[in-house]
Amino acid sequence: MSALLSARDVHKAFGGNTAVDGMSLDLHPDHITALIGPNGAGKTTFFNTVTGYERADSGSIVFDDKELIGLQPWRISRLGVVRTFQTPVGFPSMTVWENMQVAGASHSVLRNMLGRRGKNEEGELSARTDEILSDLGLEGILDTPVDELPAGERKLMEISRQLMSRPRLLLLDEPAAGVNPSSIGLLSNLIRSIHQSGVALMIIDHNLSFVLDVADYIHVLAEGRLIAEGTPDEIASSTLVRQVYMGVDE
Amino acid sequence: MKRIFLTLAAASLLGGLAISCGGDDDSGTINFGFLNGLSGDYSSWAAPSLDGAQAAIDVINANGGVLGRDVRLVIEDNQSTAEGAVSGYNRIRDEIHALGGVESDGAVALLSRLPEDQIPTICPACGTTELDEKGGNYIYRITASDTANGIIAAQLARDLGFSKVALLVQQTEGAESPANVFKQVWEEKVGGEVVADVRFAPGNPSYQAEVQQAFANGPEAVYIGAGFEAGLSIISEYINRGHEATLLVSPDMIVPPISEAAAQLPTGRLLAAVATDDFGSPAYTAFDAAHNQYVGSPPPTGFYETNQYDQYIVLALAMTAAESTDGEKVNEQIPNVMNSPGTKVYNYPDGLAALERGEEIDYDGASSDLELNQKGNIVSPKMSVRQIVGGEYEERNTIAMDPALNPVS
Amino acid sequence: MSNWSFWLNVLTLMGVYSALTMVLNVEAGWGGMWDLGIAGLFAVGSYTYTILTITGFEVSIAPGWPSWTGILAAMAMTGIVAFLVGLPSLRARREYFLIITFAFAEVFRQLAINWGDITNGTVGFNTLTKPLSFGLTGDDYRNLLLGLTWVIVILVFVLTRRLSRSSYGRALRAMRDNEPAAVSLGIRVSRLRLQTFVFAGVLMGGIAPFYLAWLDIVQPHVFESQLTFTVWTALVLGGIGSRFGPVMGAVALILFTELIERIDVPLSLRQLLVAVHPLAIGLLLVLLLRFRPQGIISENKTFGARSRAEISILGDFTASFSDFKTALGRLLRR
Ligand SMILES: Nc1ncnc2c1ncn2[C@@H]1O[C@H](COP(=O)(O)OP(=O)(O)OP(=O)(O)O)[C@@H](O)[C@H]1O
Ligand SMILES: [Mg+2]
Repeated sequence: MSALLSARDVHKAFGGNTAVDGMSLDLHPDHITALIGPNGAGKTTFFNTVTGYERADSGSIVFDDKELIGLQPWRISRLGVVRTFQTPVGFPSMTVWENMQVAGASHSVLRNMLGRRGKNEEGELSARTDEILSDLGLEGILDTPVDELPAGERKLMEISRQLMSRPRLLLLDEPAAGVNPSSIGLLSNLIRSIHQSGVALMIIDHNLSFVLDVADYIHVLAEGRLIAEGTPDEIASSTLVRQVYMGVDE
Repeated sequence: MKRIFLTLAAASLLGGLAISCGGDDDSGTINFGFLNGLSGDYSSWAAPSLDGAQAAIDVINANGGVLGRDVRLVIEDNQSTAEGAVSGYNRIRDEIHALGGVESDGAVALLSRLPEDQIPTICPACGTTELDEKGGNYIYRITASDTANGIIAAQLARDLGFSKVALLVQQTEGAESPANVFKQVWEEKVGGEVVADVRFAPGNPSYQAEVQQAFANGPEAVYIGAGFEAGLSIISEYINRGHEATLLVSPDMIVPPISEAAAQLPTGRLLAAVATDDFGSPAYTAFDAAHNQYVGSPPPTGFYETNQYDQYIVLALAMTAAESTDGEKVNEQIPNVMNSPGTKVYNYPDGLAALERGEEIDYDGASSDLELNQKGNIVSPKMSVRQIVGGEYEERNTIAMDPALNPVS
Repeated sequence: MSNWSFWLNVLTLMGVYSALTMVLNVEAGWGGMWDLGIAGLFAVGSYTYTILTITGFEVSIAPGWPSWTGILAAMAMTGIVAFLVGLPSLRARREYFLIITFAFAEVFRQLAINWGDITNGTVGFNTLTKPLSFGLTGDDYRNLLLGLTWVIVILVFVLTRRLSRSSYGRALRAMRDNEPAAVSLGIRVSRLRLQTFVFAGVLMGGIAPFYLAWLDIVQPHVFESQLTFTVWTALVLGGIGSRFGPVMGAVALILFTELIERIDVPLSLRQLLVAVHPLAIGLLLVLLLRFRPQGIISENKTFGARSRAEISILGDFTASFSDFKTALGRLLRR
């Protein structure tokens, strides 16, 4: 079983504050992988180094035989590594439908001004948008401006928008945060179906029951270092994890 | 796509079908435009200018108007800019039979427009060198040009016996045009030497380096083309460094702060020349009377008020001579009524009488003798040379510009 | 109207400013690029056109090209210059971009003043070659010019409309709304900005000759920042980000300016009136932004629910107008 993404000894410090301190992990596409850890552990920073938003100080991050460190974020996205944001704002002045359309299209002036190609592409995008949104039961909010959506729907919209760009690896930063508890089940189903459609997944979240439910494999991060990994069962029963992460003293 | 083309076609039709309806009826008043910088940079000239213009209109109407019709002044602001002049002109164009009052920016912007529209125009306050060769057809200048200011400076330097001069000039149209003429005349017509030509952008806190450069190669005279702010700091720099070359300064610098700053210089060290009215002429007496009657006070000087007055007298005489308000015919008559040969006249009623007798006339105005060359420019404007005595500008003498020095013949 | 010269003048000017404002809207409204260098790029286009087409002036380059090649060259040159200006300045943040473009505009003006061999310095050029005159002169040409400017307005409208509804337009607005999120979707922000800046430059270069046909002179002082601020005022007035708003804004602004100009006041109050003019426009803006912060037509109304439907250009106009009508109604009811 080969890794789709492998990180080796990744370091990232902000001034004197080391956020990621020698992380190494392998991500297998047939697992839904999760990354958990207390606030400030360095989870988001790790996502940032993978997606190029922050440049790692040292180490290597290889995706599908390509080194990602040093590449521009837009290029990493076009390689198929796509992330969501911890606080999703989307494109607030645009409707849900327009938000969806931003992804996956070509952005060349000339190609858009001239040529039939643009037209075909538009049609294809439209169809895909309808498909994804109806899968999620979101057809009703197509014409709603994003800044009028409740937080939960915005989260779903954000995930579906990123799907429009046909990622091979999707990095979700706290997808359950702000989602109504009654909708968490829907979110889990969505994530599973995304995974089944062939997209590798890595999830950061603080909602432990959600993570334990949806993930196949879990890495635990504290103060920039990985302190444990394993199946949900193993993690749930690890005393170290309970101490560090859940603050339970035994 | 089809719809787009239809829309385009409709739009072009809209443009193409629009009919021009500027018309000239033979009754009612005759309208003279007064397109002037009522606001903006030239606005301090506006009130005295308008008084001069109104005085002329009153004189014309008091003598029966033109062709038996009353004359009316159509006043329009050009905001002292080219854009303002174009807009302002378009606002009044359909009403007017002739135009006056314009300054350089407006005249240049309307240069191709006026002949097209056949609107005879007199420019009472244009300095621009662009009219040196482009005037003389629908547009006539009755003021001394920047070219004349440049020539007169060269003439002064020549008459003082200098051979080496330098230039120190601010980069604005008004300052550079006469400076360039000065340089050209000095080298080509006088045969003198230019030892330095320094140009600077206005608005600097000091001009040390520029002054040093200009005076470095031992010029006998330095031509300074600058507004009074830059001029002031140049003069104090000149005094501090103890230079001794004669200063020939542009008319913009004939202001009290400059004369006060230069009070300690020997008399005749700093000279400036500026166009002057023909105070001794009977035409000036007629203007003075008209101004007194219309405005209720004697005219000020130096605000183009005589030029503003003369232009409408000229237009009225030309229209009378043409026996028509038709632009083309009036345009032909404008140089005729100003230039010799012809019976010399100094006011409107005398001009009318002479024309009625079937004579050719030669109107000499309050501003000058109004002899124009082929390009509609004054041949030999009269200039007043000023020097500083006791911290104030004083007239040293008046001289007529030597036409032989004019690079435009 | 009886005074056709007056309307011809006003309508032509409205056309030129409408086109310019629509171009600014692409950059600033959709792209979020606050360009204060419009006068600079406009100057590049103007000088390029004039130098290549002028006759009768002694400058070192004056090939006397026909006007249509002059227009194309002006577009190309303005595009190239926009590229060169954009390359360093578009990396800067929004506030700095604003300052840098403003500074560049001033640099171009100074260049026009100092590069006398080519630009004829502070004197500049007059009696210009008229673009696309087809041998017409005088009033005939001015009527044609009115048609031409409004054809340009329609062309620019169609172009920007097409652009706004394309993935390119959406990418622009996405980049403006949330740059990190746009990047996460593979949008190459730096290139998109540069493309847009160049695109806007090319259009400005194409519009410039028609403004010159109206003004008939080219001088450095024509390209002072006043021009930039007029276009910006029209954009804010009409509605930043809406498709038809820029046209409404430009038309309203020019009309307002003309109305103020037409007020008959004694000479002594004239200076005051003109001084009050910018103040009045400022007040107009404050009032508008108080009661209708998005301008006459809002971006939401432009896109919003209608974005999906295949609507015609005519539909676009009527939609914009009905939006304008409701806005007006709301204002009047207060
Ligand atoms: N751009 C930055 N500049 C400086 N410090 C940063 C930056 N980004 C993150 N940090 C610091 O790095 C550390 C790790 O932050 P990070 O956001 O990666 O944590 P996290 O695990 O995602 O936490 P949370 O669960 O709260 O989202 C924190 O101490 C944070 O303050
Ligand atoms: Mg985080």
